[in-house]
Amino acid sequence: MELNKKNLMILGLAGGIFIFFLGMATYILLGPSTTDYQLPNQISAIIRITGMGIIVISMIIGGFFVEKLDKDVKSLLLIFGIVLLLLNIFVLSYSNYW
Amino acid sequence: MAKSKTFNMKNKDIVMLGIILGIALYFVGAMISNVFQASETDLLPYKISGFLKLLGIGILTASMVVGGIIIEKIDRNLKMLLLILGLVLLIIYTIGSPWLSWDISNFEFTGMMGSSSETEVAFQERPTALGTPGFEVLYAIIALSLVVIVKKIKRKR
Repeated sequence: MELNKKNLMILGLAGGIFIFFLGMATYILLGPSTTDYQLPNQISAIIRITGMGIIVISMIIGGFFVEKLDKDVKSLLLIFGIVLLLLNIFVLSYSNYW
Repeated sequence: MAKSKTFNMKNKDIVMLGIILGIALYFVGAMISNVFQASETDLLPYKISGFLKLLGIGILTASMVVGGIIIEKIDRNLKMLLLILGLVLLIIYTIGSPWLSWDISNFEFTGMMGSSSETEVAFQERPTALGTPGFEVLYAIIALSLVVIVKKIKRKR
């Protein structure tokens, strides 16, 4: 597999989504968190938020800079990337979970 | 002499395998929580079931999004539908993810007669691994309306 921008973006998207869900699943596997035992929350947050970061970066970069992609796919990636970023900034950052 | 069969995995096959594996993992996880019932003293079946279910949904979402970008020789509308539904699934789970937190810090465990122990509260407060039941209905309706609108716009063109 050639390592160009398109393939890197696709790898980032697939890996990011998998890492994000892995982070959510880790909370349940290690949980529950209590006042004295915050490890499940901490480990889950690191994995989950890393995954979300990779997803948002891949989507926005894919929407703006990657060639050889369908025009509709590029627009969708850009719109959903920006929506996801704004959701993270203005909605999810106010939750204790995030 | 018979030719040896080679199994070449194309992009389409990998995406298909991902979708199959994701859905299968989800249902295996659902089965585990029903066959091995979790209780106040034993939360392991619930944990394994929740882990498998979320992993399955993750693989499914990743396959749908990647499939919507890289699959070739497929109807263009179907390809776009796969991408849109994958992205909508991702948004649904991103918004629903705070309901999956399993933090019981706010509960008091006095240990007196009639009060709940920590494991009892943990059992009662466990998330369903799918968020609060029903949270996805609103987003599913929004997603379906979005798909219909996109299709109508394309037809007009």
